[in-house]
Amino acid sequence: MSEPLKIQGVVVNAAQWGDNDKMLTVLTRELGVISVAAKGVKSLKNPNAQAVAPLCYSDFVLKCKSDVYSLVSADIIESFYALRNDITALAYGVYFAQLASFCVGRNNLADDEVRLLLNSLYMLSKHPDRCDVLKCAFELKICEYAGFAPYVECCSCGEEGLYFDLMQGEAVCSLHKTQSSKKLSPQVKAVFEYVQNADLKETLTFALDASLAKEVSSLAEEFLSHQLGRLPKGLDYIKKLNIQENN
Amino acid sequence: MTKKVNTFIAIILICAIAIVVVNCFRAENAPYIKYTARVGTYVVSVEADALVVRDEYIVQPGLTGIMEPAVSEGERVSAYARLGAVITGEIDKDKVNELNALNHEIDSLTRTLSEAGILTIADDKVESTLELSLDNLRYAAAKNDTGNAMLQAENVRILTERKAGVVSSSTAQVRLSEAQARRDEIASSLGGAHKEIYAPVSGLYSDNMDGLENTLTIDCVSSLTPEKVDKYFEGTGGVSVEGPCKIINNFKWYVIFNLPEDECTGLSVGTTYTVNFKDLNNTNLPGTVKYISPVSEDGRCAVSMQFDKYIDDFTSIRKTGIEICQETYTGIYVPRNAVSVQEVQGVWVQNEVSLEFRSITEVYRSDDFLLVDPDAPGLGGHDNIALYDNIVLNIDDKETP
Repeated sequence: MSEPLKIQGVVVNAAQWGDNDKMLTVLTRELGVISVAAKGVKSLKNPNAQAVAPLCYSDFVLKCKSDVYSLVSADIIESFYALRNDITALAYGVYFAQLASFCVGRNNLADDEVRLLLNSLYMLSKHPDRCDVLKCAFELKICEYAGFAPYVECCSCGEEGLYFDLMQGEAVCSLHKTQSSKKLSPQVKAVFEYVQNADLKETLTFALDASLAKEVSSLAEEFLSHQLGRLPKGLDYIKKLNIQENN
Repeated sequence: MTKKVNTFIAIILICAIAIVVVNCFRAENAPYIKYTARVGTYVVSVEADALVVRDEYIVQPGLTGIMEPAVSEGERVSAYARLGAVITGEIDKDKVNELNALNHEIDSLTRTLSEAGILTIADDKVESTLELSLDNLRYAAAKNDTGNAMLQAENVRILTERKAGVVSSSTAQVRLSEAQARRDEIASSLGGAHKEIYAPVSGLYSDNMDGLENTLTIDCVSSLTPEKVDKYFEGTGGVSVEGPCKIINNFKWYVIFNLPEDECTGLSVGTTYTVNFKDLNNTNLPGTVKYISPVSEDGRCAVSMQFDKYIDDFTSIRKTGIEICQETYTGIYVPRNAVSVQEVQGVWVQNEVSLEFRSITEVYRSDDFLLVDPDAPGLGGHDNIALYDNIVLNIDDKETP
């Protein structure tokens, strides 16, 4: 019988599983993304019910049996409750968590990604009006932590990079551009470079014009889509919300 | 037999040695105990028992008896509004009840008629008011607002009569005259003395009398001493004046209390602090320090604070527990046992598999923890601590890299 495992993690998803149970997707620093069977947590009387809510950062005690984790107990460290008061901020929070779990995968160390996610959720809960800027900062920083940071300084031939190649993840000149190359404006390039050179705190607190943030985010989304092969469903919901707000 | 016992003892000894060895091995390889750095807030506060001081006006009808109030505790009344009646001698309860019902009805009818302005309107404005009432009637009818339509119809009728030169005699007026006559008739047959009382000033009505109304006046809050406050707490120190009810006629009110000298150092006259009222649903209100007395021989100061926000139930409370928040510190919470000094003060954090030293800048220090500034620059070539860093608690400086 193995010893219970004590671990901290962010609940990325809590899928319904049976009448009273949930299957959790938890992003941890030490093990990356893990699935945890949480029995009985849908019951109101269950003491762990609050700690396994989506986006909660909790202390988990787990049992591992043949590579399947099951929940023994959980305590909330940070619930980010303020996110629940703002549907837009909540949607962005869910998207961040999903994107982080896509980038980390299973059995990987994910200390930087978890710190980025927690700090982003904290900033979202404190400044829900900065969702767009936080989104583009999060997307660019997670690329760096996941190991495919975009290189935008210049084209490999030494010429100025006027385009950004989504497949190669680097700036290219007009001579080397391919079908997957997108126009790279000097402002977007400056934002890419700033985020790469900035530390976590600077990344999440810098000011950016809303239209430029959308431009950067759009390019970052396409880049992530090419690199990961898919994007989280949470992004579709954010786009629906933005369309409704614009109408 | 002896051989068996010896074997048994030997087995027990071997087991004990094995347990000790395993535990020592575990202790050497014990994992780090970690704490996730999070934002914390620390409030420096002082607690005290306080007396509420209000600007109170005692209503004195000139006779003692049973008060039959017409308004409820804490209700706002205008000047000259009827507060109720004081009745003495043998009293017929049924008649008193009927009298109260009549008083309510008279108040209601008077208010309705005066609000409508029908009775007091000038002759030259009758026509224009009639047109306005007709418009209102049409609007109310179109909206199916039956209650308003009936009221407007009554107004139209009275105004039409007035326009035609007929003396106004609406149903409401007739009913008002009848009720007033009936009230006078009952009042005269009640037996004993009966005196209607009216509000001398506008304010909040209260019949919660504690005898301190004339003692704890707003004049006393600027000349307090700890001894005086003690006497007020005992209910002495002034002349008690009796009355059936009072009117609290100002939104400005005060609390007075005694504090030890060292707890007073955080307070200054003219500064506003947040005060938590424990007996008033833990309500938080901003209050300004009005006066701090010189230190008495027993090392205490008397303090008065002024408030200008009205809260529920404050008319009925005299003594209350308060907590004054002097200062609030916010920063990353760091347990004291995690703090280490490597040229500069800081903590060790675990980043994936490596340990890194992060500098800290104190915002607040207590015996158990520090609050540190998350936005401070790094010191001594080290990065500053950041939110959600994994702080290692059980690290020995000898084993750090």
